[in-house]
Amino acid sequence: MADKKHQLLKTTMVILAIVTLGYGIIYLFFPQIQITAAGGEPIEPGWIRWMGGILLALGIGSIMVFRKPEKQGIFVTVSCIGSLLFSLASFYEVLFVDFGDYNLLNTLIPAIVLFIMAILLWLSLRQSREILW
Amino acid sequence: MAEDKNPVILKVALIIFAIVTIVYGIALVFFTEGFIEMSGTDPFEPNWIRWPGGVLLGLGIAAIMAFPNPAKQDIFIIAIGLGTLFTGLTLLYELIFEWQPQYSVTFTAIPCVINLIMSALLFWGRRQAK
Repeated sequence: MADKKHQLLKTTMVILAIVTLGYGIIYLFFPQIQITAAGGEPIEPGWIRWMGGILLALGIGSIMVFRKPEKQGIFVTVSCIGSLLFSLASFYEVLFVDFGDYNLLNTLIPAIVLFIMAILLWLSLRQSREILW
Repeated sequence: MAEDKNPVILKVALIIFAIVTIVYGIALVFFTEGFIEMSGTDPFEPNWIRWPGGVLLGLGIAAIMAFPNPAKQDIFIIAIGLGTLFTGLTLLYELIFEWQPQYSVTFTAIPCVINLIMSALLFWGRRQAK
């Protein structure tokens, strides 16, 4: 019964783990894939590789929270804030920056996905308040 | 048989982590062009590094939230411990294998050392606080 009540939190953690681990592996081990997909002027892979490490760590954390969500409100909160700020920064880019040769979808899709993630995380924080804090 | 529960090291590690991530987060989000210029590389599209600034800011805020009772936030501590370790190792890899003479050594070496020290402090502090 209790598990059903926290289904949203668990589902959100699984989606977050898939997104962060997927991007984390690409950024950390194959940054060139992301650079090529973005189009435009290529950059040094080192500028984005380090971020892969942080995303990978957040993905591992998401799996751990999925397995044992009790008292892990701070992790869920930071994931919510991080996703929101990420999507806002990307939307800013889409709206105010001249894309030129860059692939617009490469920024727009993660911006939408992360915005939805932020909403799901916020709803999970509200719904599973009693076990997270 | 008294348990060793000393959260001081973990709290110090969290303060250092919060300061570093918030400073870098603000620099990456709001002063992106200046940050790129400082590195010595050719200018590139700043949006590549603007969004990671948002994630760093989020992590810094969470570290402040975890500060009062860090021992209960084990998963968060493990995640940021791993994050700093991976970041430090990535920067070390850059320094050793992908270095180019026009880059500023300190710009990569200092964050590399800070991240590796922070990772060690976080994991050591976690053990002490348990």
